Amino acid sequence: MRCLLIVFITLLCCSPVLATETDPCIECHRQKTPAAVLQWQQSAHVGAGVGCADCHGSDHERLLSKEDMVDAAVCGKCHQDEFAEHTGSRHGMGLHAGWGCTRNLAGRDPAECRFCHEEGSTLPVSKVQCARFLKQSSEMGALGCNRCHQVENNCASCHSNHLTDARISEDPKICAKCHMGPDHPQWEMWETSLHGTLYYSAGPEVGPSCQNCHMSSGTHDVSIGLTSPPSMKPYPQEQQLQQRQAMIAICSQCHAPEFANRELSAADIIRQQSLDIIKQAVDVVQDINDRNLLDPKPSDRPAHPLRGHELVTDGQMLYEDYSHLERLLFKMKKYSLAKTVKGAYHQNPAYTHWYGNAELKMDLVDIRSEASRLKQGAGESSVDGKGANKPSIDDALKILKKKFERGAISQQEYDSAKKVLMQKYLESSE
Amino acid sequence: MFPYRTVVSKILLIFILLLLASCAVVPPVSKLPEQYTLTRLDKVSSVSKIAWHPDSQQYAVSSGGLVVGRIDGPIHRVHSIEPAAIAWSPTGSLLAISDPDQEQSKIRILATDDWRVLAEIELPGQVRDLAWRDDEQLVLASVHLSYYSFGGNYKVQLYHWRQNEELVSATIVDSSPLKSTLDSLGKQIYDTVNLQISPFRDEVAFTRYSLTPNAGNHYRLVVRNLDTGRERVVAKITNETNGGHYFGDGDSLFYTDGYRQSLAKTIWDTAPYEAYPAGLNLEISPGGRYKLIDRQLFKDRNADFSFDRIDSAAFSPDGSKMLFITDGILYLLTGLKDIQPERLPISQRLLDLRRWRSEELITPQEFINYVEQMENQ
Repeated sequence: MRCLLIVFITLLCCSPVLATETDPCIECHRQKTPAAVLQWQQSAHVGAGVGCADCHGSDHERLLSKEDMVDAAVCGKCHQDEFAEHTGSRHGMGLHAGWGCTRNLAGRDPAECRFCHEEGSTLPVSKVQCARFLKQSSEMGALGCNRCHQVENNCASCHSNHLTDARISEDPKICAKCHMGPDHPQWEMWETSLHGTLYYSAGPEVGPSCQNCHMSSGTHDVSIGLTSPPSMKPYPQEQQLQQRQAMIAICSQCHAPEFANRELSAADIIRQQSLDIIKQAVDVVQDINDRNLLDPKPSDRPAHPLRGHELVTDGQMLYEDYSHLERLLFKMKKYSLAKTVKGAYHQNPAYTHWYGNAELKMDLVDIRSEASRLKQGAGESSVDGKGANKPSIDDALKILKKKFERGAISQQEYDSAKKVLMQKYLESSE
Repeated sequence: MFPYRTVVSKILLIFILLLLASCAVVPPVSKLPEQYTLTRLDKVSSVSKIAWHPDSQQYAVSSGGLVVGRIDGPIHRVHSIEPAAIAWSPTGSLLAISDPDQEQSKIRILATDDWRVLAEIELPGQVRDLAWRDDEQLVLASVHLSYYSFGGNYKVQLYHWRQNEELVSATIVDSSPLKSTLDSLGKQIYDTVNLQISPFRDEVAFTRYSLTPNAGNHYRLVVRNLDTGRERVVAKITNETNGGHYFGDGDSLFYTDGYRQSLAKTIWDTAPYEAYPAGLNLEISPGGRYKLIDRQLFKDRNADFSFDRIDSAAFSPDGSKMLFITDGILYLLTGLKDIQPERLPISQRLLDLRRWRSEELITPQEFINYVEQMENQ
């Protein structure tokens, strides 16, 4: 009996080794892709009896033509809960939002078809809608956009291709490969916050990592507790409240709920103050556009990939083929706003203040100053439009209408301002 | 002996009498009210275009060339080209004609004192609609047709031609008809624009054909401001009508929907419309008192009398006469007493208001209020 038990335990221990030796792919791939084979041999997949063909399929032709790729859905066959959490989260959304084909854009690179289509097929495999992506060369799109935004359909983004060691995906550094840089420096602001510094000095048991707060209890839904989308405009009240309660529950693992609520509420206020500053800047840019003073004018530029020749100041704003004034606004929205707001929620004073808030306010000074320069260049006064060359009645009516249409003035204000303009016109000599 | 000579001479006499009877001119109206006078002017082509001189005394028609005449005198052939479109300039000193070929059209401007050619330009497509904005600027609509295996492309280009200046153009219609649509329309497709210039000469009314493979064919009566390019769709119509005709006030159009009724309607829906019987070819006198619906003449809102047939017609600018063609003969109807159009004199201020209304910078009601204010000043 004792002998039988020893034989059983020995066989159990050797079974992964036996499994690797019986997989028909191994013999060749040990030579062709040795790292992949080695990593797989060290992974939990071996012990679970998951061989190469279980994920990659067995049709070599389709594999070589990349028709059979290991996407998130392949992993989801076994890891159903994780797949469901991932696809429902912000990571699962990626850039998919329903986009337009670029085939009719002037000067577009035919090679970029492969972002959305299998070769020879007109069926879209992706629904990306991002103006900045559509402006990229194929090479820049592949490396500069998709290397991060593939996360929606690629578990390997965080887990690596063949390793299954949880230490890889539980290390906050795995988040850093995307969540860093001028537009969303969450890595840097965590690393230099009290949370991050404690993580490094006192250890993971004391300082929380990205995963502790955003993937609490091992969830793959990274959106839990977030109260606004990337645009920073808060969700509706009910949704905000629900999300906030979820985040406070996470914070409460270490902090008093009242403390967490107070800190997060302060960040909410900073977010709103920052959005107000952005609105002031957008109003200035739109006003200058109403006066046809942007240089170049939207009508004189290459068409925006999604909106044509209209002024775009929202999330689809480009950082090329536009005016200096818009360049200042882009930097303000994309960099300074993100640093202020994300800095506040990540409890990083320097990011919130100096990299963020101070830059936001200085950006607004720059934008106002540039707008003033443009008005003066056109002969208008920078203060009240009473300069040497007042806008003609035509232009004044058009500016007023644009202001009304974009909600900058109410119907009553519009009617009354128009009435004043028209009375002046009718009372003037022809 | 049989009286051969008598019988033959009688037969010949009967034959000659029959021949003479067939050549006699039968007036194209059986009972003409006594206040009107009908005069037969000349033989012309049945498909002639008629254009009145601004003085209401002279006219031009296309008939084997360009023919001009006075209402009290004979006609003269002054140019060899038989124009597809004719337009006198506002002062009457110039006359523009169009000679379309298959692919392009030759536009000529003639001096009306000696009929010499002052300027000429060639444009792609068929130009069958001309109008003068002023004595220096011509507005033209050109129809382009391209054929493909699946159907074709039907495009209408609006040109502004001012001598010695660069031609300005805008596409006002662009659609892709099916082959079956093109086949059914045939050559009629070149006569689809029906361009009419407003009395203020600041906007045009035209018919827009939207010939789409998926959404079917649609026809719209459209008004377009020539300065701003802003358009307003006035009505849905059918493809057999001859477009919209401006009232003298410049704010209303007379048109037919082609199957149900003809309407006198304000462009900006600022007043109730007047309904008349349906027709296909309409004309209106400048004051709006007389309306011709196919062959029936309306005075005020009542049917006055009917012609037996009318191929084409045009009221004189002073509203006292109407030229019309029936069976290749040009007639003049006189004795009309039109009313003066109710409108302010053309001023820059009024044109400004009309332009701002087209751009929706002021509402139609604000336009009315400001015009009233101008009248009171």
